Amino acid sequence: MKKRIICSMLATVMAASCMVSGCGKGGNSKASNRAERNKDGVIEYTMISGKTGEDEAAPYFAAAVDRFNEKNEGKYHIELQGSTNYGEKMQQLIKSGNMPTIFEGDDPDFNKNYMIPKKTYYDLSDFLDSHPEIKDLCIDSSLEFVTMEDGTICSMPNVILNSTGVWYNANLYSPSKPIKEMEWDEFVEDLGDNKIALQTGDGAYQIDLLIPALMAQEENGVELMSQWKDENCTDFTTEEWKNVFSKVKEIYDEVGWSGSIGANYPDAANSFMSANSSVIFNGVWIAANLKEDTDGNWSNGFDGADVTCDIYPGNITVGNPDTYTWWINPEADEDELELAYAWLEHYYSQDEVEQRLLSLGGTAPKMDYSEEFLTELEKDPFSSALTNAIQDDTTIVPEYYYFCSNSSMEEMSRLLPSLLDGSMSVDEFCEEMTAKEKANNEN
Amino acid sequence: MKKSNKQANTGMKLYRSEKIGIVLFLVPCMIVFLVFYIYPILEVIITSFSSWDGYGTPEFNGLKNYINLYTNSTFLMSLKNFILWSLLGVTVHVGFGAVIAFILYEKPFGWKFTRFAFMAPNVISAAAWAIIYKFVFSKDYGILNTLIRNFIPDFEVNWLFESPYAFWAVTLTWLFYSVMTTLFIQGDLMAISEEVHESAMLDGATRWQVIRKIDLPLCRISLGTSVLMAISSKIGMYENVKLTTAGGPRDDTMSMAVMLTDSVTNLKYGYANAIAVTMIILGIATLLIINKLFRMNESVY
Repeated sequence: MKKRIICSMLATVMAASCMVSGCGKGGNSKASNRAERNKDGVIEYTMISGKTGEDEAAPYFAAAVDRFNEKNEGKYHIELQGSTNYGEKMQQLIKSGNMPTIFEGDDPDFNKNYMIPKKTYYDLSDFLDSHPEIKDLCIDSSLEFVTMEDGTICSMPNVILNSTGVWYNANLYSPSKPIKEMEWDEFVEDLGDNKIALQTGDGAYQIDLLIPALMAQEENGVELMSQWKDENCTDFTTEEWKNVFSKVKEIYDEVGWSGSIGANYPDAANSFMSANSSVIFNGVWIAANLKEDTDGNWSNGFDGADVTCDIYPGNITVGNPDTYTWWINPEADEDELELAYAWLEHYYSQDEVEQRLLSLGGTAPKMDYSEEFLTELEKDPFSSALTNAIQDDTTIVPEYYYFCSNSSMEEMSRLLPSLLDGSMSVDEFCEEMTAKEKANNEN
Repeated sequence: MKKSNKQANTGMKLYRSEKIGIVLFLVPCMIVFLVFYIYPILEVIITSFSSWDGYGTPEFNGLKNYINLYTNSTFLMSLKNFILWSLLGVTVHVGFGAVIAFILYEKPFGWKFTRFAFMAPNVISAAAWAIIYKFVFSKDYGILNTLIRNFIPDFEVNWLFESPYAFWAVTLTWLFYSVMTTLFIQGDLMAISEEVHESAMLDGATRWQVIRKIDLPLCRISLGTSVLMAISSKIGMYENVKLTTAGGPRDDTMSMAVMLTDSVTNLKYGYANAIAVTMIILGIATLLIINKLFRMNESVY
């Protein structure tokens, strides 16, 4: 009998502990994910963010939260909580019905395929209508992008365009005139023996950045890329694509870094920062690796101070303002909405946008910059070079993955070595890309 | 009579209480097994017959995923690679590990150093090896090309990104790392009684005959385990491929595991699960065949 009781107790304890540890929801979800007014009347919110820790935006974002808390002391308080797997964590929270009060969207596919069809968003049109100073700053195409067919606005539009350009080591290469004023052939010739750090591995990021700049030079190229943003391009056998990939092959043959085949982004960046190549395509975020405190990553006499940038030949920049940014929980109560509105007013204020531009780069095409900002910008040669290069007449084209599928990037990454080493012709390459894309779309 | 009835009743009660105890002890394990093994496997099997992006409701599409998969040239290439890698795994990989085990068993001069030198690299993860091999096989500054250029100055092969070398370059990232085989077989060899060897020698058997007729049959279970591990690791071969060639150039080094993760990344969960089911079937088939061939359930002694 005694044995039986002990057995039963042990088994019950084990089963209970297993169930509690494995299946428990744990914690008060409202307290952890949603803003709440405390007993002192302050609305408190723990904001989960991917812009923490090693993320390049972390220093700016932490300071932005501090400025918000300082400005709203006794009224609102935001506590920042870091998350390394931010995208996954947000998806889990949203799917499990624990959507936070206000948060930044991460995975565009998730936003497009889950958040929007399920209408799990707060309509931000009221906010934008009541804040015309913010609405006026929003990039037109971005506002259009987040406006749904029924007129609701699912997420905050972008006011900043983070675009990419041509970064070059002026110690090795001095352009005969601004690169944006050249044509591609002229630029390739102007480079002489200097090399461009390309890569075929890891989704071929460097070539992903090159393709839209080349496609923009094709007749109707800009319009085609714009059309493909709605419905990804699946046919690579058109004349435009053949011209683009012929040009990619030509650029690799003439001025491609010899280690480009199989290289991942760190390899390409290393070749640039070891003076093995003179040119790399990137956004202003590369500046973090060009500052003096990162000289441990430099070799062969490379000096970050020698680096400057321009936009692509033909006065083209590659960047996409049409992304989802801040979302508000559609079930947010009055207190939560009050905090969310206050945060957005702060985040989209002129001061904060300018701080963001100075810290993270980019341009705010619809903003009249303050004198202080322009003075500060001049102190940062990396940011100012790209910001000054983008003018009203600059053609802005989206990045590759906004008009082609993720799977096509992977297929391209696998096929490019054969195209570049000459074991596959451009026609074969384009046909193979189309066949692979067709097979992927059938599933 | 009454006494014996009472004794029988007490025995029955004890038997029943023990049975209840066993059942109660098994309950947590069964829950874990059902929740963490059976349920996900069933979900994978069921959703493999659907079109599913991982977010919405799966839509039943019959055998479409399987038809698409088995007619997809990329999958056929990954299947071909699996077969070739399995053959190489069973022969060269396991064979090499077994030879090292027999050499170490003889304890020749320097055997301790050899054992350390052979085993030390095996503690490095496959992912780290894959990265190391990227440097070994690099076209410009790789060790291999540098060595070859001593004899052929203009030699230039991009081992990991040129057909047909890429397949062999990826194969070399794992082919000779067979420490588990060595450990299994060495353990079995050390368990063989000295008397068995001595009596064989007294009967005039040569060392080779002893290995063939006594040692290898007595290492049957560890050999079977090694072969099973060699093949099953090729079903799920991921790091060695993803971190070196990502399946390229073209599909030369494609593996089923890379196809599966690519499909998940592209939100094709139904299709990814059809690949997963295929991998499960291959795994079970491998297990059954190896169990049968190596008589894994029978004792060697």
